[in-house]
Amino acid sequence: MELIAPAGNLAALKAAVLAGADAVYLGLKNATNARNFAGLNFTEADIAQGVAFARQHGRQVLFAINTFAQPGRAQEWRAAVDAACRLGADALILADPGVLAYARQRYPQQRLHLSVQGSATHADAIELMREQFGIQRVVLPRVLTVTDIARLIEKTTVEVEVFGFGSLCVMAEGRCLLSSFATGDSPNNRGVCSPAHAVRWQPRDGQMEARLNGLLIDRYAPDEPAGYPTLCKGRFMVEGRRDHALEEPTSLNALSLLPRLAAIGVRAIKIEGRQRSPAYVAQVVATLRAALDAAQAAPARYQPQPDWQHTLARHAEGSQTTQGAFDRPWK
Amino acid sequence: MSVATFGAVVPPALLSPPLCAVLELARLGRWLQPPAELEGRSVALTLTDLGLRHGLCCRDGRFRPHGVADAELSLSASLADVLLLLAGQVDADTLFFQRRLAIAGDTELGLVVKNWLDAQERPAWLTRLAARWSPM
Ligand code: SF4
Repeated sequence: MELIAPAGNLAALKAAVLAGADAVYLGLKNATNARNFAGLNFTEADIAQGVAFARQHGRQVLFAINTFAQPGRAQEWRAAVDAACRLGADALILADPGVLAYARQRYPQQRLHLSVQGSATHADAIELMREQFGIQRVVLPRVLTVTDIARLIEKTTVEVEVFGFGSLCVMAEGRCLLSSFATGDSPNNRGVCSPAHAVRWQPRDGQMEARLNGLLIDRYAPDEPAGYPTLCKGRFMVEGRRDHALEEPTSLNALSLLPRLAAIGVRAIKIEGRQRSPAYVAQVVATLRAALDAAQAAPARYQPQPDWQHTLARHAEGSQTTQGAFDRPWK
Repeated sequence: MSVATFGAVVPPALLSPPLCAVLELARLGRWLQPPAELEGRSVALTLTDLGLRHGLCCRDGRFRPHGVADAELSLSASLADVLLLLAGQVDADTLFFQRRLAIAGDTELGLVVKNWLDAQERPAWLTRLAARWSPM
């Protein structure tokens, strides 16, 4: 299985390559990717250097252009596709069918991946995208169990990539009504759900208040772990009790499932977190590299090492990590 | 006098120049170049364990002292964590989740500062030196 690492800047790209990622995914500095954050992402000059660095080390660079073109602005998404192809992308990670069609027609040889934002969760949807746009890989939404994924792989020739580690969110991959309610933005239209300009943290009465566009979404006691300031992870009064109404901040951790994922034919494991620092990238990539190597060398004897789990837990959002939808015995 | 009371006794105006000097040295050493987005912006930094507060701003591409009270962004962390951040040894989101880094004021400016720090490539000697401080 390949290891796919996030990079929000050149330093993170280099850290990922040096820590053993097989491929790095990145985005341009605009709304064409789902991590459109202030000061984050690559200029074209940085990308040229990053691609050269990855090539020298025999690794690949994937371009995420995985938001949905907004009415009247499709040209920005086409321009992003042009830039990625010009800069030597090994693959484009796309979600919008219009953008997929453009990329396929204009660059028939370009390798295309269907983004997690494309929300293809079953073989028929994936096969349709292959027939129409010639996608070579699909990144699966984080809603399927390992059994679901195994069945799906049997029914498609498209390579399957799944998430192995990172923050989770409860939206139907990309389309978030919650964030649209609070900020008017969501990942699929603006590349961000809780833009920093709408976020305020204020100390009050010894606690820290988190507000999103003026809405109080959480209040943290001094030593309480915090999460990203999104509406879904806030705590609200419901029937007289203050709690996480929708979701407790949680991180996915599929470390213990690696041999199973390899056995059913998953081709790549992706790490979330283009918004995180090179320090995160270096440590999380190195951990998953060690785990993947161990799982490949002796799958039957594979056991996640305590220090791997410790490193991942340290970087996790929220006080708990989970196997997410991969393992749902009740299903 | 304990270290914690030091900051309460020495006026912030006297403390800002040393911090600026450190950042200026880093800038001259070419490993912390302020980006255009920081031009004219101001930040107050509180070293929570020492009880020290510094204000600084970025003008004409240089770091200069600035009043604490009217800074647009306020960041608070221990001296050790600030050094780890400056050396690129720790992830700011990780510190934030663990409540070791507090941010108030202009969050977008905070993100610009964070992403700027993340994007800087540190010289090898600094990385080696920093690796000897406990990494987390
Ligand atoms: S508000 Fe929550 S569920 Fe919606 S996009 Fe943001 S993180 Fe995801």
